[in-house]
Amino acid sequence: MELYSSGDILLFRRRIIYLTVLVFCVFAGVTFRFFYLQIIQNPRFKALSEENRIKTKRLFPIRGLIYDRHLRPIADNQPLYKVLIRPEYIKNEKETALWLEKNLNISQKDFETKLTNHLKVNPPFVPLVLLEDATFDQVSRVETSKFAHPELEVAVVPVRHYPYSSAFAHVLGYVGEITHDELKLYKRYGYRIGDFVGKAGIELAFEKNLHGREGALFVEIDATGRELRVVKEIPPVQGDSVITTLDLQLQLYADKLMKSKSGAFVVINPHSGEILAAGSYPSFDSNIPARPRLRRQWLKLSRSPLHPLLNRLIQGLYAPGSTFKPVVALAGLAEKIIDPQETLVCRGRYRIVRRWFRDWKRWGHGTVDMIRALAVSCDVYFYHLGLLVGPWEIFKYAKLLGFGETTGIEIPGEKTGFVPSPSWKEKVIGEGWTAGETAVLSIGQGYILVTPLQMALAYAALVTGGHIPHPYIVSDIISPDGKKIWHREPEILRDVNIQPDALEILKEGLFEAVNARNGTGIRARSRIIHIAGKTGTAQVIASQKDEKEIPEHLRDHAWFIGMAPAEDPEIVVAVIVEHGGSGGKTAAPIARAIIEKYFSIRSGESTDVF
Amino acid sequence: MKEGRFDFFYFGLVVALMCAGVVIVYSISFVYAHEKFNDPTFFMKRQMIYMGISYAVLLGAAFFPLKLFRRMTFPFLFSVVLLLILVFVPGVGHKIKGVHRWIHLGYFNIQPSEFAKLAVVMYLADFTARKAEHLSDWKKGFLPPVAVIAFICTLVVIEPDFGGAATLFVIGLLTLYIGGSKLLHNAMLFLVTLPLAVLLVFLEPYRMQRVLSFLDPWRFFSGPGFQTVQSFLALGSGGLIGVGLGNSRQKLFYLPEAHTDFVLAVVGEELGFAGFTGALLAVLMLSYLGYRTAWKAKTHYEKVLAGGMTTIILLQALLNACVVLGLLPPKGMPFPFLSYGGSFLLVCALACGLVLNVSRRVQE
Repeated sequence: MELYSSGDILLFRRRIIYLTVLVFCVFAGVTFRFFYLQIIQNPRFKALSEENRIKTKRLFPIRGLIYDRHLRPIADNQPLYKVLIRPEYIKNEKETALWLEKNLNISQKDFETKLTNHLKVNPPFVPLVLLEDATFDQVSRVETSKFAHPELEVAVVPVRHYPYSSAFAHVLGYVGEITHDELKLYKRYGYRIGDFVGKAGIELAFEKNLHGREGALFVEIDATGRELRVVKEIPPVQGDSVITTLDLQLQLYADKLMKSKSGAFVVINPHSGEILAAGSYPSFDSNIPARPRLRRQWLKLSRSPLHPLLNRLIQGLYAPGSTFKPVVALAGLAEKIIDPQETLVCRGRYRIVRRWFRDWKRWGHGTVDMIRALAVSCDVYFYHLGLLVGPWEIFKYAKLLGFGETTGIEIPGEKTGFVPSPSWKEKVIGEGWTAGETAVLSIGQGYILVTPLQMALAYAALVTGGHIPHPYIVSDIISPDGKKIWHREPEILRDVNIQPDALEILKEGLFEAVNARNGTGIRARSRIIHIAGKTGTAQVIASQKDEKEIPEHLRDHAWFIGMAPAEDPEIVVAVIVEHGGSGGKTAAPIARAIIEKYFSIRSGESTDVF
Repeated sequence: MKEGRFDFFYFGLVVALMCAGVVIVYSISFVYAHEKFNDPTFFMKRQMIYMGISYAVLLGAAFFPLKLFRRMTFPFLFSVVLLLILVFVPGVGHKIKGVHRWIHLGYFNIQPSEFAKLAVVMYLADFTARKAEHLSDWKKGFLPPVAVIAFICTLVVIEPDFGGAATLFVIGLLTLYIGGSKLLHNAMLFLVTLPLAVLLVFLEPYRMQRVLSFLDPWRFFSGPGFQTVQSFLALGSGGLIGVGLGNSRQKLFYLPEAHTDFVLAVVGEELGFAGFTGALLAVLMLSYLGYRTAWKAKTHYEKVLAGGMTTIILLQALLNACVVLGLLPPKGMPFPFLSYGGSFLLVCALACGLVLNVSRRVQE
């Protein structure tokens, strides 16, 4: 056996001792380090350790649908595709960047900065969103390259979709990502950053019903945020759906007529207040604000000089023009100031104090009584009547019919409009009310401002004998499982006492306006149905020139308020076409077409939707 | 303690460590095991089986005729080399996370690089004893063993297991030193190898990342540094006596591979400074007894064998402690007896058994 020599043994033992000393030094170092970490740094690390937690992932709810009166969906949901990339699976960054540039149109530089910034704060397994709203083409490119590019993923979330794009924009409104201020408002209902909320119209008014309840996925994560397992899942609850009083067919038809114009229209049931169709123009595709892809278009829309986002139906303030004349007539009749059979000779001008007020028709209408004056829209008659009635009575009846007040429709943002009075003028302008101003007010010009919806409702009073209904769009709310959970009963908003004989005169006047020879609303006359109505021309500037010589943006606004059937009206239609010139020429044919369409739909003749 | 007899104290210490290992593996892994295999005792059961086998191996090695054992040096060395090559053969080798480190053996995976440490020590004990008079000769006494070590280390490096290779290299170097080679040679070899190791680190981005993250784990928190950070969190929240056995937070998925490489971190968290120091002291005691045996052994072979085997265990324990404490970059190295894993437990048992064997023969 190879025994050690004594020298070897000494060497060996020395070496063992060296080794042991070395080991003890290392051991001492380790212990010291350990002591430092565990005893000295204990509070700090203990707190950090507590931060390892369970993470919740949000499950977005599906927004409730919106239906028309025959349960046809007019707002539903669509999948929104996002393209994500998981940095940890990138095999070759250069190659991936090239592919992205070629196929998804993401520049290499963009991608690189995005990725670098992402990785500064996220571990590599947290996906980075490359496209918030990918097109079908982009999604299919990603899906077909799954094998070559496993790092790319497509995620789907529900997003609001309006199948008829711009047709319902101002009634239904639109949705968009929640803003800071909205968050404050909705916080107590559990809303959070990243939620989509209604921004206007029905979407805003019924936000809490439509929204649904967010679900959550509780995921256990490790210290870096990597998901390990689902601890608990709370599924999202779909929002309630609403049924509206709108008629899809009628709306689409009216939309087609109004599309190229600027203005507004509304079709309302004067008895119940149901709104069958309504719109404001120029309109916009209400799908735009919810889509990240279309952000630029949205910005352009909101800055457009044509103000497409303004809801002219309830926010557009116009002088009513001659459509206001029945209000003055009503004041005269109700207060028994004038006998409707009393006649007046109109020579085209009327003198008040030392000033001549002109009629719209240069040479006058000849001998007119009240019915005839309404039919031919004689200004001189109403100057005279207005002065007899006085500004206070006009003010009183305008207020009774709902002018200067909101109508209470669900759509938020309604304007009150304005009805002037002598005391208002004194207080605000500091001057006394003049007789001339009474005359101007009598033909619906001057300070008075109304919305198209107010106009339609005021005429509803002429149909129902003074009962103005509360206008509404949403008739029912149904839960996701199809149960009706709320139903709206029609109600009367205000009552104006109109004597039956006064009503007869006014109705006759409106019928004559459409059907009599020389009636201003002759273009609303229909061969299918008896229509009654009143035209109006709201002055933008005072001018003697022929309308064709005036630049378009200074031309008068054209009004027509109609009702049909004239004998016992079922609907009231208000149409305003901005800068359309005279109401008889532009607005009346549109109103007639809408009314005819309504009756053909009702009789089952018209079934086309487009 | 009487010399020339079976060292019951040493044996008891080893068995106690192995039992503690089973308890700790269970305490650390039951949540993870329940999650992954729907069986909280998955890792514990396996560890108990490994422990049973290791117990037998420990006793077997303690009483196996040492002469016969020495004769098996070269067959063992060759089969280890063969296994190290076999891990790359598809179907035989088992790839985990892109690394060829295991050989699939029915129910278990074995890791040849662990056995390579034993083989190298056995070979060096035999070599230094045979060539005792040539040891100071550069060509005859130093280069041949270094060539063998380098060859095996290369095989391990290309697995790739840089940490394993480095450990193997240091074990070989220390065993050579105990065996009596010249300190100058060792130092020179070390100086030659160091730039090579640095080069290897620079060539492989993930190794570089690990080293960087080790230098500043907090900056690489979300990347490669987070293991170290989580280890700090575990140790740091332990305090003096710990949060209690089974109460570790970090093992709940926050600290990956808690039941293998970072077992000490959880021991530190659950049992505190006391538990951590206790585990280290136990290994230190084991080493002390092992070196004492080497000191007293009669033949060159026995001395180097006992010293080398003890070095395997001690070095692994210290390196592992350094990793857990953030003093060395993490590199997949278990702690003797306490970490989950069959191959390394077996190797440790064999090493301790051989030390026992040598100590038994001290007065014969």
